[in-house]
Amino acid sequence: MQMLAGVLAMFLCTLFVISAVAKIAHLSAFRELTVAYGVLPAPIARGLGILLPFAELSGAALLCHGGTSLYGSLVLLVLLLGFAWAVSTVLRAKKNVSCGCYGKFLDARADRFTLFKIGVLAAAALIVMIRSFSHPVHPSPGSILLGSFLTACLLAAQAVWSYHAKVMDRLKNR
Amino acid sequence: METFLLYSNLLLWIVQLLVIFFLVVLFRQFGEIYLNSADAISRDGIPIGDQIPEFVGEDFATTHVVTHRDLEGKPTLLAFISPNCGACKDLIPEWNQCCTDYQEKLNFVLMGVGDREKMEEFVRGREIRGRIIWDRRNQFLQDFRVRVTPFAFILDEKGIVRGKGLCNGKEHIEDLLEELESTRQTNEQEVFR
Repeated sequence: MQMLAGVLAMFLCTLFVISAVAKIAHLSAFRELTVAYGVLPAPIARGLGILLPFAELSGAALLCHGGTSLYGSLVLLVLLLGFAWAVSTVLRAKKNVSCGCYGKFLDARADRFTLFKIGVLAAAALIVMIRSFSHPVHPSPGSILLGSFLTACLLAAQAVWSYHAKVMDRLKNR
Repeated sequence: METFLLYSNLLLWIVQLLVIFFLVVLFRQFGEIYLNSADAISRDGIPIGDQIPEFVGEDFATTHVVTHRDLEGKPTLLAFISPNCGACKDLIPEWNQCCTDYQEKLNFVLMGVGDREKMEEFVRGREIRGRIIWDRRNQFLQDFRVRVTPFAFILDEKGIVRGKGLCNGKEHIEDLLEELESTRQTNEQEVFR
């Protein structure tokens, strides 16, 4: 269990670092994207668009240390629940919005896959949080390696899914 | 060593899940290409050049029995429709238009599949030209190898399929007519040789 929690912590950490850095690199574009979701009033959405990447980065940083992993997982869990609410609102409204999960690094839409991915990440954050209550989750070389590999796999799955969604759209509309 | 095995086991699980995901995506895409695309649907139906299968249906207006033999003697446009299909409802105005334009050259026959009650609902309040044959044995789609409606065949006077494809409107109907004409011209050229 300790090993699994370690791997999941590193998985979340690497994923959120990549995600936050990609967003910060094009902060103004991400800010506009949060407005495009249309789930919050524009001024609040713009403010959140600036704050979110930094919140992600701090959550990831807190996860890297055994003593703070509980807070890190808590921050990420709250963020993920917020994302889940925003994406499900967009899906219910049948809007076609870019998810902006990885800024301009990887093109992704707010769709069922995004919602599923958020669910998986939230479950991972929950496991880390529960484990952190009793034992501090320390990173180890093995967990860093495996966590990074998991992140690479998730990014690959996202890239494949985005391409697949585009192809399916083209096939259905031709 | 034990830790290494544990990590490698986890790694293999991750790779396995990723491969399964890729396969699902690939099959989904293949399915769309080979089963649901317009090209794929046009490959449906009994092959061009084959005689239509023997069938027994019911003339929807008179309730008389109709068989495949009743379609011989004059070229026929045979369109399969189902009462729940929106595209079939949209087809009717253009079907009627074509029926008026080409009724001297062709028989216009709609092959209705599904419940009789629903067919009655479909026909009610809608002017439909040509003949409607109802699939009383629920066999038409299977016998003619049709997966989607509206789908049409164009038959020559001997009941041989000369063209087939989706039939969503006048354009498709005229394409089928052209196929019939081009087959005729080819046959005539062969006779002259």
